[in-house]
Amino acid sequence: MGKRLMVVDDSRVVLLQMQKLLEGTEFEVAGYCRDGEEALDLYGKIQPDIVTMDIIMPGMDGLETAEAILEDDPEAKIVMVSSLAYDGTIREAEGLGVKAFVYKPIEKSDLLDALEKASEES
Amino acid sequence: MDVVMHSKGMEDIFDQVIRRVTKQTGGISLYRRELLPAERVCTVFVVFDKGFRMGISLCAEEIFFTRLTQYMMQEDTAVPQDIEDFTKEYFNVLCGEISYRLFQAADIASRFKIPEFRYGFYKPENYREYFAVSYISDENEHVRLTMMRHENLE
Repeated sequence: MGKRLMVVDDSRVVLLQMQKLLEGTEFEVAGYCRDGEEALDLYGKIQPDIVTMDIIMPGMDGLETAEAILEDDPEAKIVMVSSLAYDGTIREAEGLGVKAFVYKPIEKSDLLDALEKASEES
Repeated sequence: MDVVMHSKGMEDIFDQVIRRVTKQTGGISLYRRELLPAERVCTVFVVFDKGFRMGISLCAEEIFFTRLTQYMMQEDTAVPQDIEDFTKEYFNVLCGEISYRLFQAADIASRFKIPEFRYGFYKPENYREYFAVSYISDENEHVRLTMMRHENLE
């Protein structure tokens, strides 16, 4: 059975890229939202296997949203997807319990490695 | 910028990043040329809200952004909403890499707001040009990347 993803990114371009890159893989996009507030609501409704999360978004940023999801569900598997590649940002994300980090522009191999890593972690 | 880097050093970073990202993401080669975009233009820009107090804008002919979008979408046509959305994502990647390179050079972490897109020339209020790098593309489109400083720093 395929693994269900929830994509959180204010840019629909990332959703389109994810759908294209994941065609034919075990991962499928089951839900999409454009900001943190929507993400908190949708997460509870669709219970995805993995969440991909942008950092820069209107309202709550991705780190705040990841933190909120993990507070409600410590088992949540979150992969950050961002153009901000600082060690500090990565450390902050890992400190929250995020499973992996993918840098934009998204390469298929990097994305799949990150999703598989997140899937394996318990 | 709290100026911690000489403008020449920053200019080199901007130049290297825009040429690399535009080729990798958009399939377009850029060559340095001191020309202002002249035909129908669009501007995409960000302002930074952490670290450097600056803004970055990219002004280019609309056809440049159309071609970029078509390449990113791998489609022959692009509607205005596609051009705006894909341009903003391209610019997000560009500014993310510039931020990272500036961090490596000056050890200052920065973060920027969501990119905005406008038809025509546009400069955010309260920002002045600090330097600009200009290009001509492999299909003769004019492109100008500008770094702006907040006026409160003058």
